[in-house]
Formats: sequence, structure tokens, C-alpha cells
Amino acid sequence: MKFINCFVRQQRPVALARLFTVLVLLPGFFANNAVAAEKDTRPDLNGVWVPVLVSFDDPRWRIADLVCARTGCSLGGFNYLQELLQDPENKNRRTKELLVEMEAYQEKFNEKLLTSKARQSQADFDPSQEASLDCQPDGDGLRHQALAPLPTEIEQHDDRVIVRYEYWNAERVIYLDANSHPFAGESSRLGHSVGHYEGSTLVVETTGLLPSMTGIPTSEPIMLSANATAVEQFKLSDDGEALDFIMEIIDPDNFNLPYQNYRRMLKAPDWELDTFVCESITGEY
Amino acid sequence: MLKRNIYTLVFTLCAMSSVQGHHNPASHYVIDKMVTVEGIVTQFRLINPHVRLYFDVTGENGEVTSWFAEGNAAGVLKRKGWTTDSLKPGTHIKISGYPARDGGPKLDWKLIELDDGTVMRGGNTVGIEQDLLLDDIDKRRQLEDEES
Repeated sequence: MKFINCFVRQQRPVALARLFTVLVLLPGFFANNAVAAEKDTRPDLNGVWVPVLVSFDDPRWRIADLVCARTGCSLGGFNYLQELLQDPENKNRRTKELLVEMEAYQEKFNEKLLTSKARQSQADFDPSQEASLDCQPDGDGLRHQALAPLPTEIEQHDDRVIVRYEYWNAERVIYLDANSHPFAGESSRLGHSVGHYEGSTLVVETTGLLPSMTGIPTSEPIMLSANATAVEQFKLSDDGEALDFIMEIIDPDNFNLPYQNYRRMLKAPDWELDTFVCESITGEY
Repeated sequence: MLKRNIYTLVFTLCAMSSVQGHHNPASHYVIDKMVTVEGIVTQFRLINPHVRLYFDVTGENGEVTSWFAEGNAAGVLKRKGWTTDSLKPGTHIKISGYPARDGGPKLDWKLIELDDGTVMRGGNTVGIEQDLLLDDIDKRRQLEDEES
């Protein structure tokens, strides 16, 4: 009441000016400050990030990263492997033995993970019938795009994040304002992505993915359903040198639980993406 | 005259996921079998999705057969120092890898040995390069243990 009275007691033009300040300018001021504050706190993900296979000798890699070199490991499998490697009793065991143990863990996990429908489609899978994409990325899904063993470049803007992949020369836009970029209903290979920052992590939710074959560690591939969605986390390490990437695929047709894939990438300031030159193999098989 | 030697050894592979969206080796190659062939390089293509090597193999009857082998992605091998000149035409090689499902003169290669004893890897990491990588990792673990 006191607050309102102070306007009533003022001469009208002064009061209106103050009211204008309170109602129009201050919210803008706070909103701008909020944007500035988010800018200050959001992680700096800009630049090129490299996976293991193109930078195997980099001393920043942990042993478990090297073991999961190809397209990462499941998050559970990676953590299990880390425990095995850190156990002093395993110091003299060969990495291959530890990998076999981790795979056994993974297989057990897959029993809980896969639905009966997924198991049936795996049983029906015949690798000799799998078509080669032959330089057409159409059937190559988001998981393999994001986890291919080639560099990735990230470019952050206030309203979006652009992710460029050397693999297939692909580019994705992750919209940070979901309201301005609603999903238009047309599915695509890499889907429609919206994201937000949570501390040092960029969280991205993707819908509208076309069905694609997806690899499962220690198991045959499965065809994701048209209802599959993905939640990705790009988490910057404390020293800013590594980017921990987790891709969670939610597809109740195939998975009883979210399926989480993990891979680390390293900051590579001197690197550039190369052009992915693909040449058809048709006729040579 | 080049002598064609094929050694076959069957082994059980670890169940590491070998599925790739663009190109599953199991769809074209017998991935529980390994063969070794000697020949002369005719062409090396440093391209994606997998580099390709073409070479001629001369049989015991003198008949020359053109073979084709594929290795890792060009984007990976270039970063390991491979160039279009890494395997020049005329080079004599002994190459081992998975044979083709259809029995044709094709390989998914694992190792290439040159006459001077140099062993080149460059194979597709899906499954076939896995054991070699694990050996490298063992060496690194040992080094890290010594340093600590």
C-alpha cells in the first residue's frame, strides 16, 4: 500500500514516469541481467572436440576412454570398467580380460534393457541383408552421427547452439528457446532439438527422429521406433579440457529403461573439421 | 612369380558391438575367419566411408586376379599420418583380413606387411582392430604404472 501511495502523492507526470520505470524498464533490466548472468555461467563449449580414435596418443585420455574408443560405451559399462581399472587387484590383469568382464556386466544389463519386441527384431536380424548406405547418410541415425569416431565442432550463440560433425559433414541446430522453435511435425534423420544449460552442462532433447538402426554394446543392433527420443548431455570438465557426452535414448518399444551411451571428447583448439569425402562402394561388394 | 598364400585361422571374437549404421562389416565379410594374401598394389584410395586398396594377386597358374580391400575411415587414418602415397602402386604387400561372404577377391583388412618388415595397420577398428588397440592400451597402463 505504501508503494502505491508513493505514486498517488507524486505529480501525475512524475508518477507516470516512475510507474513506467517500474513496469517496463526494470523487468527488462532484470531480464537482460539474467541473460548476462547465464552467459557468464554457461560453459564455454565453443571449438573443436576430438574423440579417441583420431587422438589416441593424447596423454589426457583415461584408460577407460581408450577402451571405449570406437563409439563409446554404455554409461553403466563405462563406470563398471572404471571401477575394474581402479581396483589394485586388477593391476596386473590384461585390459582384454577387464573388457570381457565389463561386457559380461553389459550383457546382464541388456537383459533388463531390451523389450521382447527388441529381442525378436534382433533374432530376425541378418547382417548379410543389411544394406550399405553407400554415401547416403539417410539411414544413419543420431546415435551413430554423434558418436562416430571423427571430430565435432560446437558454436554457441545466445539463442542456439550449432553442432557440426565431420562425419557426413552434418550440422545440427539446437534451439535454446523451445517456444520460438516448436517441432513442426516432420521427422528427420537428426530430429528437432531444443536445449538449455544446467550449470556446466548443455542438455538437449531431441524428438522427430526417423527410425534408424542403432548399435547396442555386446548385442545385435535394433531398429529404433518412430517414437524414440533422445536426451543428450554435453558436460564440460572442471578444467575445460574434456567434454563428457551422454546420449540417452528413450524408446519404450525397444527399451525398458533409458539406454545411455557415454563418450568423452577432448578440446582441440588447433584442429579443424576436415571435409568428409565419401565415395560410393556400389558394385565392389 | 608371386606366390599366393592363404592361411585361414578361425577364432572367436569378443562380443564388442560391431554395428555401424553406414556399413556393418558383417554384412559383407566373414568376421570369424582371417585370410592372408600376397600381391602388388595397383591403387590406394584415401576416402570415406573406408579407405580402399586395390592389388593384383598372381595365382600359382600365373593368372592375375584383381583384389580389393577396405580399411578404416579416411578421416581417422589421415590423422594418423596416412596419405595417398602410403601405399604406392607397385608395392609388394602381404595383407591379412576378413574374407568376403560371397567368396570374391575382397578383404576387410587388419594388417599389411611390407617387404622391409614394416607392418601397417589401418584396419577397420570395428572388431578387427580391437585386439591391437587393447595391446596398445596394456602398454600405456604399464607406462602409467611405472610413472606413478
